[in-house]
Amino acid sequence: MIGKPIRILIADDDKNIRRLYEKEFRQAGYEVLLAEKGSEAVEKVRNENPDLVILDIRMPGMDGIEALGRILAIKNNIPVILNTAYTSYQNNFMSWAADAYVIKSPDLEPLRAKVREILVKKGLLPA
Amino acid sequence: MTERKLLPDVAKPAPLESHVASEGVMVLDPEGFRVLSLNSQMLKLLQASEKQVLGRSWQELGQQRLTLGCSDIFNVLTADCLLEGELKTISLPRGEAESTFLELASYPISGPEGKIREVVLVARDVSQRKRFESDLARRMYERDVANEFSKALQRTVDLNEVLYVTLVGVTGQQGLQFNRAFLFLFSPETNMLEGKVAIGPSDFHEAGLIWGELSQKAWTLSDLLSAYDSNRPLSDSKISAQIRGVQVPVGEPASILMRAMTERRSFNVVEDVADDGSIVDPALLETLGCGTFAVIPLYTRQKSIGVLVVDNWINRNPISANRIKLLEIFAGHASSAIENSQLYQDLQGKVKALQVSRAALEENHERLLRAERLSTVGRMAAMVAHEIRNPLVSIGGFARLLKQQIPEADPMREDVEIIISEAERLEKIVANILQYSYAQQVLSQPTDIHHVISKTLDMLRLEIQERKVNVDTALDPDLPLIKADPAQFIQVFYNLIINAIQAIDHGGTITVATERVGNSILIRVKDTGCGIPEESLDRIFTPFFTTKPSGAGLGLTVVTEIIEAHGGSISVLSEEGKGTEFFIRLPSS
Repeated sequence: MIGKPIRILIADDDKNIRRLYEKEFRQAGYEVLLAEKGSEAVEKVRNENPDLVILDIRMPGMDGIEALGRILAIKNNIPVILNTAYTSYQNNFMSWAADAYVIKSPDLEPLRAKVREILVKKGLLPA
Repeated sequence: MTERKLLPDVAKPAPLESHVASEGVMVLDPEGFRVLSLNSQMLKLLQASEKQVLGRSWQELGQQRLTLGCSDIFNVLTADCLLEGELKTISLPRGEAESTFLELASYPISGPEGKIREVVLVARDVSQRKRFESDLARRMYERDVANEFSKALQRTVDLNEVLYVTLVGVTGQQGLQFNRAFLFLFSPETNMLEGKVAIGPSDFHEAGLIWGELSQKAWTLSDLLSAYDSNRPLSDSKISAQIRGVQVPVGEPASILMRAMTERRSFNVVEDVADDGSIVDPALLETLGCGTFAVIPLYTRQKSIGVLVVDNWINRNPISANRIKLLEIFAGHASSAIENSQLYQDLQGKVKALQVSRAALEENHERLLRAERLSTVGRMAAMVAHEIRNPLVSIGGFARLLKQQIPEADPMREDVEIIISEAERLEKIVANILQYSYAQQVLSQPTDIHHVISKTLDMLRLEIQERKVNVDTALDPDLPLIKADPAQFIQVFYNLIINAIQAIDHGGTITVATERVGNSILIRVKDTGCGIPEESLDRIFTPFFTTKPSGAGLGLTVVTEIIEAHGGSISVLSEEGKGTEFFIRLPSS
């Protein structure tokens, strides 16, 4: 890590998953922000300036797809990873606006790798 | 033997000259048949003077062929006929004028002792009745012919057969007996009167052959009219070739064919001059090879159909006004039949189109039902699988975290590994179920892009009509099929074309063109709309970029994603104020 730590915003309505991801990404050296609703995620993008967002899609109230649109409207260059139990949103053209689409799995390595890949591409991490 | 005591006319000489003036009366002696007396009407009928006839014997008179115009009377009635009271009708030629028909009746008159005293011969001019009779016979014949003709026309809706029946009816020996007939039909596409088919011999030799053959077959008109053979079209004949290629533009004043059609009147042309005094154009005379013919218009109340041209090229029979009238009746029947068959053809086309779209509809319905059934099962399985996936992530995820904290030698580590591997097993089951339930959703099938384009244009028909947008297509007929999901490509063209329509706003042109370029296909969608400003041009494919007051700015993102998912690419050229053109390249195999 160089300079100030990278902030990742994780939005998921499942408490256990938030806890798991928080542990996982902290361990990997990131600063972690959490949101349990889509609207909360949009607020935190506006106020807390995260470097990357991991969005669950199925959330009560504002879902991840809608949150994605709002987030990009606020900050259209922020990388967003959709992380969901559902493969079906891959065919939803709305989700094509996200930088990546990762299916939820107990093995968090693919998600961690995707986060890293995007951050390197954005120049926030050394290659 | 018929005997009469008295003949009132003879008994009273005065009325003989007055009220029975139409009957000629002659009294003969029964032995030598010498003319004893005759009235002036008889002299008139015989076209002779009293001096030439009175006192002469029957035999003598019969031999005076040269001096008497009517010597036939004396040759037709023999002595036996006269004595037996015979009734006979004879015709007397009258040079240029129509023949005179005479009804001759002889009345032998017996004396008191039973012996024949004299023979009275009465001649009545029945020309008028005869003419009525033959006129009636002609009309009945014509009516029969017209009946046969209209029956034959009603039997079919095949345009070629209708034309065949028309031409055969006009030229048949049992029909109107013209030597040749030519049909010219009006084509609304070219706005011209065009030579179509003809019937008749192409020279004298052929005339002899055809008529010789027909006379041996003793065909009735009805046989002839039913002899249509679709495998031997009239249009293949030599004489049809003679008029094929003849095209007369509407409004050509020099053309008697065009005049007949537009003025809806017949022309009788004799020696290059029509009955209204106009001279026929040389080109037509050359085509027909004959300067004497009739032109009859074919039309219904609503529309002009064409013209019929007939002539007697071989036997040079003049064409009478009666024949033209009859031709006009024929033409009326033929015109309705031609119009009917044209309407029928139109209708056939529409019915076929309907059947095709109905079949497509049924197929779609079928597919929807199948998809619905699959998706109900699929949705339930997917729902359960998704519900399992979230807790599974927590179980497996935390187990992995735990494992990292347990030293390698600790037997608990093995227990945690069991949790991890069992969570992985469950995850695989979930992935399999989900894969199965979504497998059918994205298609990759051989797809005809032209079909996709026309389907999309159909979907947008209302918008296109409303904005008065003109859509041109330039489709490569040899375009290969591509492997694609047709529904996704409908989305591609829908987005591109709706953008084009909105860019045009009102009254412009959208051109969709396809062509094969090596191993790929190139599709171009071009509009004459407002164009895209240069500074926006490189941003139009990025998500949420839009210039429209309403719109998500995802249309072109979707287009790009679909095209790239199919291994293709998209690019754009645009000039502000002039229009935009999109280029799509897709691999063809």
